[in-house]
Amino acid sequence: MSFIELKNVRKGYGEGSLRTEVLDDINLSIEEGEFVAVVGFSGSGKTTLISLVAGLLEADAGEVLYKGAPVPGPGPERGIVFQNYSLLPWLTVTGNVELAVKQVFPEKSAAERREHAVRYIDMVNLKRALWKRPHELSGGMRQRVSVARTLSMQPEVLLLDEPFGALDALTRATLQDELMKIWEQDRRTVLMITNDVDEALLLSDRIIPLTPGPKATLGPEFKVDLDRPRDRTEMNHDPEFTRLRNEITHYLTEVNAESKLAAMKTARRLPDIKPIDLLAPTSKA
Amino acid sequence: MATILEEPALDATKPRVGRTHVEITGLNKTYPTPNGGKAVIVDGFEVEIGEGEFIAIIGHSGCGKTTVLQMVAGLNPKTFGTISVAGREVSGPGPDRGVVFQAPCLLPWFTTLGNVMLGVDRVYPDASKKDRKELAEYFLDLVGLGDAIHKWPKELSQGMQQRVGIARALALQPKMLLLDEPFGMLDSLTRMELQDILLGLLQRLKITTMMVTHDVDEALYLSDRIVMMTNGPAAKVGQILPIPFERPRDRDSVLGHESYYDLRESLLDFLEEQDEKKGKAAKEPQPGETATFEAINATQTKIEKYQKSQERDRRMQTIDEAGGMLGGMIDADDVRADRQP
Repeated sequence: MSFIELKNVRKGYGEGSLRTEVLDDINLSIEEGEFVAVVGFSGSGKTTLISLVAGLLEADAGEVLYKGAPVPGPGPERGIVFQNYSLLPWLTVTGNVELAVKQVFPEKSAAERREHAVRYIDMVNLKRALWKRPHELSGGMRQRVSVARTLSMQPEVLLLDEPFGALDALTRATLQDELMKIWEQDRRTVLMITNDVDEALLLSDRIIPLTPGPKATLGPEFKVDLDRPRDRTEMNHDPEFTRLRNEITHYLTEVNAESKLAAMKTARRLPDIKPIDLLAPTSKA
Repeated sequence: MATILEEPALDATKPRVGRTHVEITGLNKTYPTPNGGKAVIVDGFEVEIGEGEFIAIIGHSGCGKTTVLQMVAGLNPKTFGTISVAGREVSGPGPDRGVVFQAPCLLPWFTTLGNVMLGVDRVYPDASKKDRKELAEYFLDLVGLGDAIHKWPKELSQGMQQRVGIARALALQPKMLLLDEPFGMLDSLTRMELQDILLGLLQRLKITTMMVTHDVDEALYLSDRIVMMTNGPAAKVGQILPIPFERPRDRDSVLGHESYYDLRESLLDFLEEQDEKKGKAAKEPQPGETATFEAINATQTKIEKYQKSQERDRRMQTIDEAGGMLGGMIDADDVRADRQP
């Protein structure tokens, strides 16, 4: 039995002529302890896909199964990290994390909750910012809080929706490395959505492309058999890494080209007119 | 280090393509500091670019890449040195150099076509209205927006907006294209899509191009040569890497080229080396890792604060930049006036 399974899932929005079919014929199964990355174009329905697994949305057709049973709705066993952090601005770092801890472990005493929260804040290297509020933190730090909050609920599955998409390249690399280290400790099941092939190759066991929408569906999967722990610099020398990187890039540009680049041919004529020469001595006094 | 290229006779300082079209010598940018001193940002930057050649400038952020590009665009006056484009010294912005910035800077109250026409109308004053419109439509077709010419900027995705920006620059038929991290705000897949579009356009139009980027894969895919800049202050050309991939290019053959990953690594190594130098210079006496961590976070917070303060002026800036981009042909007041019915 798969840990997470999607069978013939379809999802769209709107009514009548305004209806857009976003996802169609989605089949995916994820085993326990697996790190799966779904790579897709913006607007193709990546967030819809992860929201279905999270239970935030319901499929129009097909089944979304968690440990063999239909997903009833959102639950703490499936923790999500969103791209936009979603922190409560009036709570400190500790407060934001404690809130989640309180929901999931109501039996814990206040002191135990505090200790629990701090442990996870420490895990993402934020112990020095325990009493800071979100507005005092950089984007990278906020995303760390969000990761700590999700981890503190000790979910069985981590659902990551482009978690580092809003960060600059340097911060993104740091957070990817941190996530990798944390994941290595207990190898929890992860479903990550990303648009970055390198990020997917660094972190995941399996990469599945999502075709451009509407009616996006999953493409052929790529198994990532690279030794762990992975090092982004050393991976460069690995022929398996370059092979996968080239093949996945090829697949993604190919499916996109069919839908978008076809428009680039023009049947129009270029009018034979010349721009004025502004810098010619006569044109300006 | 072992030579990567099969052509040892290649002189990296000379154009790989065409006759010299752009020549930059002894370029220097110095700002006065508040305490009466001088901040030398760029010093002794030199490069020759061939007609139809594509060069990328990479370097650590803050090294002065954008400053160099702005000086070539004429948007930022140089302190010393010479910049000549097609045999003429640059003395200010002009429509002979099309610029595309990271933000597409479209005017929200104009359609896609209107945004392109804004420049076309001014640069082709003697052409008929019909010809001007056809010209704008031709370039919008080329960037794949033929079906979106009557859409408003807010109806377009970020990638599409940036395509309008490219069409707007190209429609002026510039002698040189200046690209300042044009795809930096896009996600990595949209970025690839726009790189393909740009490559196809330049294949056809063969415009001399200078692009500032920090994306190593982007630089390799598009360039004939990559100019690596040293860290500021007083940044200059550290090394020039000739790129051996044949044209016309496609991504598969470039990624599959035997020297692709070697070249990629030498670029990454260079950047890392510059990073380390910068790191050393920045925090000499700080002991311990935690101090570094705090410093990084403090810097990040500062950067974000700065970005937020910038956000406030974004609207005005859009207008000013759009004015600058159209070759200084219109100034911001003009555009604002255009808005009045």
